[in-house]
Amino acid sequence: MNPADNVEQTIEKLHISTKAETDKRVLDDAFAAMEKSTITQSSEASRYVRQKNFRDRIIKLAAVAAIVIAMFALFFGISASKTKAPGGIDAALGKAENISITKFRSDSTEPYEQQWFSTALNIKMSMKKNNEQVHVELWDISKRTRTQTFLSSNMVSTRPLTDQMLAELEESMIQNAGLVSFFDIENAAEPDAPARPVEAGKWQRINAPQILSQNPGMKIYEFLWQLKDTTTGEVVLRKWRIFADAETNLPAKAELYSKSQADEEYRLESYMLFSYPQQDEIQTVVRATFGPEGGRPEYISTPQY
Amino acid sequence: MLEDEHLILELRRGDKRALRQIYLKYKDYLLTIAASLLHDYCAAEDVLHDVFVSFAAGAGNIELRVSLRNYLVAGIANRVRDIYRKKKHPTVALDKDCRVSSDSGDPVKSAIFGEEFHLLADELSRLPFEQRETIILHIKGGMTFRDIARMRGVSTSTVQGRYRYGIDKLRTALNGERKK
Repeated sequence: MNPADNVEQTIEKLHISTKAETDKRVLDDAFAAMEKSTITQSSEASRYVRQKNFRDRIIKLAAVAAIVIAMFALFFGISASKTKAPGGIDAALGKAENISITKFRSDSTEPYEQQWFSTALNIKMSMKKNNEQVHVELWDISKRTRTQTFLSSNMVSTRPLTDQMLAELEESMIQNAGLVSFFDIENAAEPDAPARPVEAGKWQRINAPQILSQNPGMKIYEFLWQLKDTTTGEVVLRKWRIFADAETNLPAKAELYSKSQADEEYRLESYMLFSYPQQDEIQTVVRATFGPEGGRPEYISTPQY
Repeated sequence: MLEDEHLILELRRGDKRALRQIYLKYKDYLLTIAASLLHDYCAAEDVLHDVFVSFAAGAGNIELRVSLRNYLVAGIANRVRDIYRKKKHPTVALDKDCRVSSDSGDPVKSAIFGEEFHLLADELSRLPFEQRETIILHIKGGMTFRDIARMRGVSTSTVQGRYRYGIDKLRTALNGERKK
């Protein structure tokens, strides 16, 4: 048979096999990665328990606290004034001094973004993959500076934050956090928005034994809402599923799903893992990225006012 | 399918045998997809390695909302795409011995699929990456046009167009070869 007669069938028949040495290399490295990951997870779990003892140390740094609370209010309820997250989640988050969020796409086990929010240090930091580059940005509210670098580069750029930039910080942090898609929520208020909510969102607690048994110690909530594409008229159904620690009410994981009206089941689009690091752990990440504080170059680039 | 669900449950508990079983079940299939996309056996092996090691590292927290097969295929496709992006950035060096050679038409490398398929493999490698990716993921990877569109953030009609143009080009090229 000439492949031109049935290209699809011929492609279907393509087959090659791995070599024995490849199998050994892959499996050896995969087992090692699995073991390393198990050790890391167990160490993070014990750090989390230690960290709970410090939780009543609440330092009120209004600017960042307001940002974090507003961000999570958007995350959990679309409108901060109208909808409150259930189960004391929003209150627990408001009290958390340090939050780290790691984001993944559903088809990848590698994170595409990690963010740290610290009311204790008065900073926000984000590390985001952009093609093959990793872009890191540090907003220091106390020093009123914004420092950026790429991990592949030695160049560090620090710029002062003006009052206007500080005022805009809240909004940009909400957008960057990506907890609720900017496309869905922010644009929805515009008359020519590409997508608008067609019904108010609602919370529901998940009590399905199968889901609960897979997530011991968690309480699980879902937030459902719908959007309508203003051009095509297509309605998209979206859903957040939140896994919160039953004891502390702090979220541990959030999953974003969507489906069309014709679809039977929601599809997982992305998910994020929450952790609540110690202050010194965040400082270590900042130092590892930008170097020690005294050694950081100041205002390498042109200040923007 | 049920077997995969069981394997995932075991994997979450840290069972290495489950990881091994998943690898043995899908390795040739995934390698074939990677090699079809890259037209380079060596680079395809590296992709299989990276995807599987990354899969193993996240195994404890894995929660699948698509089939395990589609999940792994998507991982392969994304890793291959990363390699193509690197190729566009000359500052990032590729491994000397595993250079991406999809456009080379190198007969030695096209022979990875055997004599029977070498013409097809050569012509596949000459297609633009997006068309080749769509064809391979749809036919060999078993992904729907809609799944591919979601994964790549484009419309389903764009994906269907890529598929149609790609298949037409393959047919034309292979018919031309037959006339020679």
